Amino acid sequence: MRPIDTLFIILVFSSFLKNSNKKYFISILPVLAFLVILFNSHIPASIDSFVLPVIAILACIICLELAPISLLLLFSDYNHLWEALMIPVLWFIINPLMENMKTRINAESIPHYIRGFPIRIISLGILYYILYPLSYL
Amino acid sequence: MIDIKKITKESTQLQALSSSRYLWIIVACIPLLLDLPSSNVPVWALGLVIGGWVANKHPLRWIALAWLISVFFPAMSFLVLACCGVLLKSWKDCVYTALLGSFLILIPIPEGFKNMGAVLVVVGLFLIIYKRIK
Repeated sequence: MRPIDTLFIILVFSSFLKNSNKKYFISILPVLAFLVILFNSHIPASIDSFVLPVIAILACIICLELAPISLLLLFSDYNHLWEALMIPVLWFIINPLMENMKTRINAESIPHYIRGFPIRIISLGILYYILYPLSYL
Repeated sequence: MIDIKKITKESTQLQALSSSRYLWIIVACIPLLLDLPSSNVPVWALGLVIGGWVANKHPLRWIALAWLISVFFPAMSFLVLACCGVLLKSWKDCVYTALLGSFLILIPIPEGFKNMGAVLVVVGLFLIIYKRIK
C-alpha cells in the first residue's frame, strides 16, 4: 500500500490517537519500517521472516492502544526516505486542520444525514486528491 | 442541577460511537487498495471471521493468529490480516468486513478508483444516501 493511502486510513481512524500520549509513534515507525526494507538484503535469511513480526509485537507491547496504527504504518511500501517522512509531516498538518473543522462539520445547520462522519470522510477524500502530488516528489 | 460538562462529554462519546459504527467499510476496502490476489481473499476473509471469534479486541492475539495463518499460507501477508483485525471492534464487524471485502474483490473496479481518496468519497456518498433513506 502507498504511504499516502496509509496516512489517510490513519486519519479516518484518528479516534485511536485521541487520548494517547505516544503520538510520536507516527514519526518513528515509518522510518523504522523503511530501514527494515532498506537493510532487508543484509538480514540473514534464517531470521528474515521474524523481523517484521517481532517489530509488530514490540510496537503493540509498547503501546497497545496504538496497535492498529502501528501495524498500518509497518505494512506500507516505503520506496524512499521521503515517503517515510511524509506520513508524520502530513499528519501533523492535516490533523489540526480536521480538528479545526470539527465544529463546522458537526454544526446543527447541516442536515443530519450529511453531518459528522460522512462529511468528514468526504473532506478527507478531497484532501487526499489535493495532497496526492506530494507522493510523486 | 444539570451538569453541562457531563452532557457535552456524553454527546461527544455518542458521536464517536456513531462514527465508529461504519469504520468496518473502510477496512473492507484495504484488500482492494493492496490489490490482494483473489486467491488470497478467501484466506483473508476466513482469518477475519476466525479472528473475530478468537482474538477480538486483542492486538497480540491478532498478530499470533495472522502469523499462524501466514505459516500455512505463505502468500498471505501476516501484517494485512493482523492490521485489518486490530482495526475492527467486534466480531460482527469482522464478519461484515469479510463479506464486503470478498464482494469488492469480485467486482472489476478501474485502477483509477483503487486509492484511498476514491474510497473515502464513495463511502461518504454511500453513507449520506443510506442515512437519508433510513
